[in-house]
Amino acid sequence: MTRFVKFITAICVLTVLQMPAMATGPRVTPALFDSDAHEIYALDFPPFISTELAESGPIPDIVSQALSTPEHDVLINAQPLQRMVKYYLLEESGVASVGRYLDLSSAHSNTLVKIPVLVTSESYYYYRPNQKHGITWDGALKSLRDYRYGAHTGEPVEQLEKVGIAVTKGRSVPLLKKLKKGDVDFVSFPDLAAGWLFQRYFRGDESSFVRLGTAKHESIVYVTFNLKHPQGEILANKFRNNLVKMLDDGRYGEIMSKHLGNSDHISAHSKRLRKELE
Amino acid sequence: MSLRTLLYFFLFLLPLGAMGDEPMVVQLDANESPPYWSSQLPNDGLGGEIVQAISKAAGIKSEIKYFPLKRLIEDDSNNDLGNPQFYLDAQDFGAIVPIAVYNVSVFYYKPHFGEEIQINHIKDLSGYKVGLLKGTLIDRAYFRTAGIDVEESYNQDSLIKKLKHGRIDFCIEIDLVGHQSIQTLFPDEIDNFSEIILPRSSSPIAILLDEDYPSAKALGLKYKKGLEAIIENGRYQEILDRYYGVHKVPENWYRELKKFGIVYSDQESE
Repeated sequence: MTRFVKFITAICVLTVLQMPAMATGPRVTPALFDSDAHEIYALDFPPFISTELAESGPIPDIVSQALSTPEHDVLINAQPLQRMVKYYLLEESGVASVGRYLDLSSAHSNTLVKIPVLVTSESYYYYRPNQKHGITWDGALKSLRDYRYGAHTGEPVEQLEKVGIAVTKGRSVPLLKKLKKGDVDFVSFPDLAAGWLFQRYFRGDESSFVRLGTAKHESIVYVTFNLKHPQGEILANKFRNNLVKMLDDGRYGEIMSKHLGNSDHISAHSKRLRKELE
Repeated sequence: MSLRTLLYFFLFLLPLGAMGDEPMVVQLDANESPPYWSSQLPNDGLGGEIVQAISKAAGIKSEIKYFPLKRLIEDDSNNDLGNPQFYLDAQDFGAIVPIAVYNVSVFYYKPHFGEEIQINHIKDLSGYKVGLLKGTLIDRAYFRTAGIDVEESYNQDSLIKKLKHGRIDFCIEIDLVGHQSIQTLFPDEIDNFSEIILPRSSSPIAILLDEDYPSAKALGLKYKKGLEAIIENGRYQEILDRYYGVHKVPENWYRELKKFGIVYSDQESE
């Protein structure tokens, strides 16, 4: 068993052991206590952002380390729905949000500053038992027009719809369940996330999820700062500067490895992010 | 009696649920979590009573069934009751209708301290032993780093007992759950227990209808209208007063309920 697989298994066991007692119960998070802290809402994106992981996962850990000061902690509050994250950022004038596909409309573009914090490489996956002859793909989207795609909520799908691919939207885990059930034929996940999710939710059946072709595409997780917040601009500048430092001195990669184990994907993510920040 | 009058008469007799694709009876699954949901309590507890009042106002027949939480979370095709965040990881819903609010409080036993305690920061709990319900601590490492000794229990009553007997210094409980445990266990000592409501702690209690449930969106809208109706006619406040006591319902209740209504509205339009 590789170190990475052992790590993932341990996480899964811990997760099961932490099953809450009641569905109407307290969720005891650090955010409950600290009224001076900057609270940042993040969209759940396991295993990069998830309440199931220590410190809510590597991205909240990185954001928190880049922004915390002795006077102000930064608390990341992971939420499952886009609408919730957008509401806290825009309606309650939160200082920042973290997530991808947040679809923050251009109406707010003058008051928001987006800084990338994760650039992932993604692949398409299908569920082999539902596709007896497999799916062959030449890298052109139009060759997938007879298949149904499961998109993440907020994901841009114009290119797929343009070539006639039917699209169903949902969140990460329900999408994978739809894939297994046969409600959709293929989905897209970051390579590093896919392994974690298959282990966590489909243990024993991981090998049935098959990567479709070799072509990859990118998706970016942003920290979006709200300039309407009195600290928004200051924190945006601080975050960008500290993030670059963390990439330079290797702390970014160390934090990713601490949460996700050592993987070749991590150094690739760091390189892509550095390029994106230039 | 004209044919038209007769027709209206029979239509009136038909339960609303029999129209369209909506099921005759909507099954909603909960797990035992008194005083919000419990088959042992009259009208299934606070949440159960609100659900039935909403259903009556909306012309829906709703039935609450109880299952272990693990099964509720693993079942990704059922309708649920409770805090949506417990279910949203693995299931998509066609409608989520927040119907109530709960807050989290820190309780302590005053005679052990001899003074009023203030908690403005996690560090204010540093060096103390804090009791929690098993499975409710989301970020254990953060509490460990803050120097908090966490002790977990499997039920709420044992937390209050430990508090009274000095085995823990504080316990973190849902406000109403803590009140009820104190009232039941130590009715003569209610004033010796103190409560600090954590300002950022309010969470919703909701009706969650699975995305593939027949007419989930239409039903969600009916439940929402039913909720508006019982708030308007005072029945909702009547239920809250019975559980919290008159004038003791948390101040933020209706503001938070409205906010959660916005945050969870119209899932598919995201």
